[in-house]
Amino acid sequence: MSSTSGGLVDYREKLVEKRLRSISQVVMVTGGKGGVGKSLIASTAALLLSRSSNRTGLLDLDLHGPSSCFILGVKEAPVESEEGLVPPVVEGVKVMSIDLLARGKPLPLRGHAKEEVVKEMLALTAYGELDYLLVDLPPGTGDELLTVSRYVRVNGVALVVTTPTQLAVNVARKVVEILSSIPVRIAGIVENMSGGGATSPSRDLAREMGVEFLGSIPYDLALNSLVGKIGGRELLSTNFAESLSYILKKAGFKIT
Amino acid sequence: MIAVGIVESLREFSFRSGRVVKSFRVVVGELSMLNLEQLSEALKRLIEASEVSGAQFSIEVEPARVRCGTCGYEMAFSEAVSGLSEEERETIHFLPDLIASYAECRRCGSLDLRVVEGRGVSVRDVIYVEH
Repeated sequence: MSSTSGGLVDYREKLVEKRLRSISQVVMVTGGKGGVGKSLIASTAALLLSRSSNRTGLLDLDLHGPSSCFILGVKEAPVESEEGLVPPVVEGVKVMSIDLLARGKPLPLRGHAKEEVVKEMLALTAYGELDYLLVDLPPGTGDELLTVSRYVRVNGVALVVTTPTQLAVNVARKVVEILSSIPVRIAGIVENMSGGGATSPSRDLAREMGVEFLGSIPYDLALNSLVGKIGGRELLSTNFAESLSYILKKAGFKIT
Repeated sequence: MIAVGIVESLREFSFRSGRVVKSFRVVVGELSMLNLEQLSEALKRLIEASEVSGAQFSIEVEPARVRCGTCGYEMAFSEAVSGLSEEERETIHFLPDLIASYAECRRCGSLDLRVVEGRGVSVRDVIYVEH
């Protein structure tokens, strides 16, 4: 008997799976709230992992507010090859961002289109073999987070970034709940712009959700004035990078 | 690369369902800018070397259409991108949704554009027989 399959076969699904099989670990940097420092943490973490001789990539999926390229001073467009789009490299980190393709122009996108763009970026980008792919996610719990999470249930892990405010922690709680339901493994919670101290809403959240509290990164005034004016190497010499390095080690990443 | 994805998808479909793929239709969006001859040759080669060997296929092109989310005007892709450089068109070829970064509605000037037809590559009407 012969029959017809009504559904579409999306060839990109296979390409994404194939690409992700070449990556040992996909690290999603999320948190939900805007302005907590996800992009800076994702970019700096990529630099730190690369400096420790890990083959590292960075994928900026903040489609409406991409900033990784700005932070790292990347301007070169990806190069087309038979394998796909080969991303530019800075300090050993292969960097892909919608900003490199849109050349800094605004990109108005609706929900379904965002899922399409995420899928296409994952399918087209030729990272090759990687130890770590850092994914810089936008604020919110929408298409970008959900689409990537679906693909990385096997080799994915999330770093949840908050600040020591109830506002940021309330949104981070929702992210933790969503990731746990998929499920995606959560490496832990990182408190950025910390004022120090043994108690904070971020620590309370970690305890409440049964997630590890990985550590605090003090507010770095010097860093604030450097971002956008420096490249990756200078970023590595900041106190911010030093604090993050301890946190990544605690989370089990290969940092030397 | 695309041919590999198509054949992998069909192999998995066949493996999971226990069915034998007899034929399928490949619909290539205008925006994919694929060389249809090369795609056809690659598909033939990969199919014969796979578990879906013997499957027949046809390839057709779906014209691209763009809709404005502000005024609802729908236009052919060629109308939406008229005036763009080759480099800009090439970029849109990779990520069709980038049209919203480079073009604007021909009627109202809005950047809220979305591709409603003619993107990517899809496999449709897979005809199979039970083992």
